[in-house]
Amino acid sequence: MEFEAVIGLEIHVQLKTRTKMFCGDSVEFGAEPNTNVCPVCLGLPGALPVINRQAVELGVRAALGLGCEVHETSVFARKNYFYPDLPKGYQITQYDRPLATGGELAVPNADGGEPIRVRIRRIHLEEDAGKSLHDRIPGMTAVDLNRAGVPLIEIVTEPDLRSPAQARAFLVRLKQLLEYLEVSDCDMEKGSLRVDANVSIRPAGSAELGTKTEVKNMNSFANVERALAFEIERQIAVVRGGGKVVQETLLWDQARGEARPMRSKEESHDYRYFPDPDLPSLVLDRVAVEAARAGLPELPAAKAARFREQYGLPAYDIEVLTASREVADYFEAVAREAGDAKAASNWVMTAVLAWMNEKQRPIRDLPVPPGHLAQLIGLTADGTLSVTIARRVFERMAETGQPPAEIVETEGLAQVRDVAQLRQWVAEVLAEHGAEVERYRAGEQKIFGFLMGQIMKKSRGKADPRQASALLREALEA
Amino acid sequence: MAFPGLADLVAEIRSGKRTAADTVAASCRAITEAESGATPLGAFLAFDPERAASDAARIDAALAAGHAAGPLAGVPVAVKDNICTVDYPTTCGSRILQGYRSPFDATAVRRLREAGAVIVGKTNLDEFAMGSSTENSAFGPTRNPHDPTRVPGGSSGGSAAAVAAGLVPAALGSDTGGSVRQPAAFCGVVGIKPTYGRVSRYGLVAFASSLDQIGTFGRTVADAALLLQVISGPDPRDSTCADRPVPELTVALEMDARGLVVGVPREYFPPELDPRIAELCRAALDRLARAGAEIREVSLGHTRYAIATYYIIAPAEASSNLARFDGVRYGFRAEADNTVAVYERSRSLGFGEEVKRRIVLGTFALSAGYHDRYYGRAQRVRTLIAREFQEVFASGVDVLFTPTTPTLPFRFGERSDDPYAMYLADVFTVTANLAGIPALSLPIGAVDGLPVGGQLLADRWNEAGLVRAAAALEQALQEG
Amino acid sequence: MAVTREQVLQIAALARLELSDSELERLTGQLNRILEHVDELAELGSLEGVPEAGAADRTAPLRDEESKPDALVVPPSELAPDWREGFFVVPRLAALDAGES
Repeated sequence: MEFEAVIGLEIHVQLKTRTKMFCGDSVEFGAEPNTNVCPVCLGLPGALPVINRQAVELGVRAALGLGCEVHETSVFARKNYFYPDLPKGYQITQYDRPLATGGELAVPNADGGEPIRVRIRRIHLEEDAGKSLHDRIPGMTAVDLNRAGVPLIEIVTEPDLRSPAQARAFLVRLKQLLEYLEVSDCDMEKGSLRVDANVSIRPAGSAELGTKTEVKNMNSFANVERALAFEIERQIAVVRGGGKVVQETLLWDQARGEARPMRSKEESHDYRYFPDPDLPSLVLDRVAVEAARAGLPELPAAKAARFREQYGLPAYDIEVLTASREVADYFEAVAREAGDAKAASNWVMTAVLAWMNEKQRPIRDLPVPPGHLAQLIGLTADGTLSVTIARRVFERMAETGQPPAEIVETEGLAQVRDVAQLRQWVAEVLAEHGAEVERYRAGEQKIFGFLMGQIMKKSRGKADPRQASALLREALEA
Repeated sequence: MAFPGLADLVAEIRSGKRTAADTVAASCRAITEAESGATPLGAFLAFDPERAASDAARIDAALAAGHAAGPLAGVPVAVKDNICTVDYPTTCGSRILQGYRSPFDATAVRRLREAGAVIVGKTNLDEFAMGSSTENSAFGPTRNPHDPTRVPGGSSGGSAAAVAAGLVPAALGSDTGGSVRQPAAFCGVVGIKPTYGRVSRYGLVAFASSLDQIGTFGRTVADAALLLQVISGPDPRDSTCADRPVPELTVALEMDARGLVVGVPREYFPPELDPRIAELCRAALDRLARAGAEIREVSLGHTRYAIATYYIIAPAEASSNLARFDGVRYGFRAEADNTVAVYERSRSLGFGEEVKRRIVLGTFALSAGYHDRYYGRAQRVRTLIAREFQEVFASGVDVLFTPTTPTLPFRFGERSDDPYAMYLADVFTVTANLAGIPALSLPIGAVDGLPVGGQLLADRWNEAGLVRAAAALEQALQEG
Repeated sequence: MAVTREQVLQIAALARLELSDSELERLTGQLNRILEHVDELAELGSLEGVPEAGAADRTAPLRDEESKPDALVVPPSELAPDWREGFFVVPRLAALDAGES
């Protein structure tokens, strides 16, 4: 029997705020343990939560970007359970009245068919727990509460994904969208984006859902894909062996490449949700929500469509250029100023992305403003610079931040088109390579390339190749 | 000792007729005396004459330097020990917080200090404010100043007893189901529970967050009202504290009873009510009528469900509020070799019996399969109870008058074996908390030397009307 | 309704309370007596359409990011029953020693 996987994802995203969800402590990453804490996030007796306006605004923006219905009234509830890094003995989260419901995100289909439409079930606001370190002090758990109370949204999808690859593709799209919306920095290493997956299998073509398991602790998109593949295979093996999948939570062990059942849930969980009596309803102003909707940036799908339309770029280029909003904006600025989208695209996709990859830095750190790159494109278009020299000039621009003309000027890199100078280089090369000249004249045509190379070398790359080649031929045939 | 009324006391301190230092020292001497000997009053869990003296000296110095004096300049005030103070421990009468020192002041405490009050100590209470007798304190009971064999009521028994014994002119308590009004009645002082959201709960250790309010004690309506005035008002640290202006309660004190419509809900005069209390209530209503008030019988039919409703909602919220006491970050920790054992042992040794009982009851009321039947239903009944009050007040009734308690102060141990019998001590007071309305208890007489309290209730945010009626009744009773 | 001893034990575990046998016995009895009274609410019949009361029927104020956290007069290290290297420290979960990390 053929099996099909059914996957739904729960994604926790840290919102880009300066302070915590319910108190004014900093959310700065990497501070000394237990320094960004106050009565509220320490869960001290008598402390009370107050909702962070910026967190609400970012949550609303994310919900609008995912096409959700944003609810005018949502309610914070308490999820009660004990854990050393949960200071109050409950987490404040939205439960039966979430911020938003019913969105969608389309993911390109790797098989080339129609895009996969992944429905978003809900988005809700909540606070993060602290961090427990179980191996720092022997036999003890060490608790750092700097993270406790950091604002999160949880995005829950419907079980619309059918393979680990699709799940990964969805996450790539989601991250791209959230970055466009400037809702989160989505840095998995810093824990600002975390993914849990619900997985089940069923006979291909069946409409029923099988028993699902939950897989946690996957700290990269690649690991999500691996963990899901592992778990799907495991479930298929269980069913093929005549067994039944048990509903449970599994932890992905990256080092061993396997997902193992979590044992710390000693008794069945009963979270005893109830509305947090410390927090009245979160009521959004309809006008403000509409203003937020109107203020959304152009989203990836719309941008890609426009790039196709406006610049006539190939699909691959569009994919690369729109992967991040910053790169897309940079490309557009260069294209506008250079008046040549194709050239702008080529430069961004090669030189600019190479710099970003090499330096592992975002484009905003690139010392070359779009105007400078546009000037460089102009200098190659009018023949002042050869492509090779232009790449060298770009490297200098990326080091110094100088405009290209200045670099060309101070380093004398402009292409030499002065006929007298070119003739002199030709003459010198012919004189120095008498033997090769003889061979060429005897009919060995490929020697021409060698001689051209010598001219370029002598000119340190600056000789205008078209002119130099004409003059060389002229000299050889004379 | 006897303090003059707060207004006079502050006027004397401001005019230099007496100093803050003398006033505070007198209070501290009285406390020291009351808390020593073979049968200490047991009203204070902590007091510190030296610290109080230095605070008082600062006030005197400021007055001498001509700085503006606050409305409570130099007034010694006691604070219930579930309200956070940085300079005294905050134990909630619980072993689990023995020695705990809050790193921040409650908003109400901060406002007291800003008004020039000097906090002379922290008062005894039923553990985490759960109880009606102050017998549930881990640090021993408080005695009723009128009869040391009887309870002072609770849970704010320490604050009520301290004011009744003349140790301080005024004190803060907290009222979740009657914890200010019931001990005020038992001790023969005035206690006010404001509208939910009138006073910030920031720094009040939560028992049942949707019911808790800090309240005030004084020997007179004017004193309790002045203290309330000072601690009221919006607070950005408490999302449930209303952004509303605070009414001028001193103006309300000057008004009389003429034209006042006083509703008397018949459900608050059941057969179980001590007939001697009923008699005093009737007498008080006569006085009010003679002073020009219109007395109107009304009905609040859902009152009979109030105790059941309260004893689901309050424990449910408490079970969650008290989860933070786990021995990890502060407070008492029992030795154990793993996390869960630390939790279980710390909580089992740290909490007293009544607290554990309510945690179990509340956990049950919220648990899967029972949530809708108990917690959900109780919250709906609560809506009905609140609506009923709204309707009565909308019908032209200014205030309601009821007895504060169904019985006289009872003896120690009399009810400790039967939790439900103890819960019935709150039968007339829990409705105000469920409906979020302001309520006040004032002395209306005595039976065999034991004080009896009458309760007034008003519509939400109508503290001014409440205080006006109480002052008028107080006046009418004095005129005799 | 009546709760059994086992139910009370389960609830106590959920609330992280350790009860002795006699405590458990007494609590079960008391709880049943309280529930007997509390069950009077059933008399009111269906309350369909009556909203649940609570904080949820008001509107929460929102905090601007400029607001500062309340200062701690006493540092967390002085509050903690066990504090090492800047961390709150507590004995590990038993489950972790059963091989989970």
